[in-house]
Amino acid sequence: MNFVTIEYLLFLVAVFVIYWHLKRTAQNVFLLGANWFFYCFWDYRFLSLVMATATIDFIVGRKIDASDDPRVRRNWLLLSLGYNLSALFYFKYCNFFIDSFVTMANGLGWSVSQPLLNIILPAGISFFTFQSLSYSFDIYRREIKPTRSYVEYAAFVSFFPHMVAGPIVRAREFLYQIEVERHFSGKMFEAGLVRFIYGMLKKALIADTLGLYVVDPIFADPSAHSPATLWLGMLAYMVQIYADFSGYTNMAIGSAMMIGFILPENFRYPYLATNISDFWRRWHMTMSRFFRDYIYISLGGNRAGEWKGYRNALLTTLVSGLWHGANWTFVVWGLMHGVFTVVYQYYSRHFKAFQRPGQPVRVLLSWLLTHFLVGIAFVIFRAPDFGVAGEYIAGMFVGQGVQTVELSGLIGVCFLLFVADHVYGWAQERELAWASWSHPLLRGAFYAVALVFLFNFVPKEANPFIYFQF
Amino acid sequence: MLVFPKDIYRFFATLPTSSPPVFYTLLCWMLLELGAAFVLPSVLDDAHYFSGYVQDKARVSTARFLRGENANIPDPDSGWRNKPNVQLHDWVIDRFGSRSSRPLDLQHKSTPYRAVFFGSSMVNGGEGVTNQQTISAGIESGQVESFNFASMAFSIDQSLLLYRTLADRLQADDVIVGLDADPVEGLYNHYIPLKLREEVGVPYLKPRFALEKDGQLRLIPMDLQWLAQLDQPAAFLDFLRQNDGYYSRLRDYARCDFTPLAHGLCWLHNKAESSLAYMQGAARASDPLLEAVVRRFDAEVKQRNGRLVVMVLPSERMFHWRGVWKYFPDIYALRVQALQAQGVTVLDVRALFRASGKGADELFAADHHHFSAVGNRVVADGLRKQLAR
Repeated sequence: MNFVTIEYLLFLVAVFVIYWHLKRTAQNVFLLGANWFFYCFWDYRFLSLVMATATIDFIVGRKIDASDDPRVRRNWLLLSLGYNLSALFYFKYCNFFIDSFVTMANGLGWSVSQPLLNIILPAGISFFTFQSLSYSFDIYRREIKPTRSYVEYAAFVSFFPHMVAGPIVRAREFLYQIEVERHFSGKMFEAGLVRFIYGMLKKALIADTLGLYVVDPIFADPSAHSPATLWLGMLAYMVQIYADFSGYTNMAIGSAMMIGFILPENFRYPYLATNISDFWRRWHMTMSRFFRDYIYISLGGNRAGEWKGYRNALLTTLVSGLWHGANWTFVVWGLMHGVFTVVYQYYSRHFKAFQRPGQPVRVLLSWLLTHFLVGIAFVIFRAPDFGVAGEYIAGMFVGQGVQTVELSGLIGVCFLLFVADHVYGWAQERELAWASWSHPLLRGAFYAVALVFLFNFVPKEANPFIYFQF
Repeated sequence: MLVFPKDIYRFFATLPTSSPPVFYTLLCWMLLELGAAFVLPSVLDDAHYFSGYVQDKARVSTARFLRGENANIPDPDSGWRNKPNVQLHDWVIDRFGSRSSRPLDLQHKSTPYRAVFFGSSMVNGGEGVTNQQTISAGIESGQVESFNFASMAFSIDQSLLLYRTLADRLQADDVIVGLDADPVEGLYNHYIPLKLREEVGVPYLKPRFALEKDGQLRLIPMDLQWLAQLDQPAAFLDFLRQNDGYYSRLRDYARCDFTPLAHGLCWLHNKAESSLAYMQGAARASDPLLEAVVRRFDAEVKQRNGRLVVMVLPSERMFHWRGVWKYFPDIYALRVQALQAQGVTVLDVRALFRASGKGADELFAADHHHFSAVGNRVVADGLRKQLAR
């Protein structure tokens, strides 16, 4: 059940109406049922996997908490880790590693046949396994106490707004909300509704239009397109993936707010970043936070010295790349970001003289360089393989292609909306007065026009959310 | 377990003060709905809406059609017909425009007996089956040859008009015409996209008959040149306004297709209307225009010493007619009865399908609309027995 469908809207309205007519305990049971119903719409075959994940980590959490013996606690944590990572590995990476091994073996001259398994990727597995895993980790680190209610825990793991594509919510951010009485708040409903509409505008209009009319045709045959078109394609993809994922996040956060839950933010105007570390503080923030807390810091972070800190950063981004999908292009994308981050950290540590504040030209150059590198990395992320990626990047500089794409007014509107979104973010961050000014009539008119605009201009052949595949 | 969430009711009851942005969103939205559904259609003329109504793909397809680049070519009598000498994978049309299973000559019978087929893609077979797997191929033998002039989206009035242009050369012993699951719609329609806006593959124009008060059929011809002037459609729209039974779809589009609420209400209205139509199945099954066209077809075939056989083709739903549908009038059965009452030879394909003992998965193609090769074979077997009488 895609968020941009009439089915989801009807589902959300039904959940909203029934949910607020129930008492807290019944609300939680109902929510769990709604979550499972929602997941069944995606793929009922894997509901048992979601249930098993919730059940195992619920038991593990209680066992870890009940023991003071470090060995026992560690063993229970290993069980949780083993189960979640095995499930993730089997469903997401099994074919990838078999395929890579066979390719490598054949490259070395060994004759190995390819026993590819017919494995289907369960929707949202990268998200719900990580969320459940964070619960065991946090209890192990004594940062939270385990919940007593299985219903509440299972409702957290499978909470429908964030289940399939995040944001990655930690148990400590959610469980306290589900354990207490929830009261309808008009302000929260209003904020949620507005977030939802705005998210829909980003996803269904900006992302789908650019994807369908600019990005997909260009990436389908990069060598045929002119260098200027390839640059445009890269920019369009940067906007598409941002609008797609942050649009989804807005809809997820908005849906949750309407039924009284606060989910963490996932994006903070990432293309305002002026360096690569800043970019990762703004892009897919809940994933960055997860990898920072559970991998980077577990590896020792930057406490073990400068070079080990670089190694840890590199490893963390590498894993983050692999998390995105079972393809070497994602691994290289992660590795590139690791290298960018390490170079930036080295630069900021050793070239402080160049970083005095109040240098607008330096900031502008830094901003341009950051997003040029992010864009190039996104080309590799988007390309189906390295051949296409190489062709694309080479074509941007020395391409001989002449084909262009037809630029309609609608594409211009999409770029304009994206720029307006970031300019608004820029003004908000600087606390400019006009950024906080909004007359209710003006806002109402904007959202009403957005609704009608969406209805008329959303491409019929809409793409699924990009992050659903992860 | 249940509570009365008075906060919510209070919130929505006092929306202008409890949440001005939501209130103004709703207010502006309603104003836009009113403007789009009532104000604009009274200000803008139909030509303005027509430019948006005809989809880009339909325009491209129309231009290709007029240049003779599609699998159908313009025909001044029937609107369009199969383009001769076309091969698209397994879909082969011969030099006469017939989907025959082997090379035949229209002028010279190669067997003692000849059957000629007319109808839509259901009879043509479409791309899902080969030329050797069509119904027409299924009846062939050393004694029987067949021509298949069925063409995409053809209705029975077009079959009659095409038959007239070919009749002198056909030497047909039997003329077999297929009636689709809903054979009435097409009889009141000239411009296909008015009946079905999504039809971008065959967005063509056809003539149609009108039934006069004295029971006579009057042909309403059309001018194919109108298709070349979709950007200046004033004359075309005048013609359609007067003659096309689906012209109101353009007005519905103007009122319903630009805002979500109006669209939802129109959708509900259409659903209610079609449910009502199903409940009044008896009236739908028996249509005077359809029956008059069938009678005329029969008379014209008889004039040339042939026999008309009407194959009534069921949809998958009609084949099953189970679940909630069994509480509605069985339109298929009623239609078969109504046609038999006209004195023409009728082939009850649903009865053949049911007697075959095969399931819908076998009889229908993957699109759940056309017949599969197995389905065609069952029809052909039944038809052979019919022709032998």
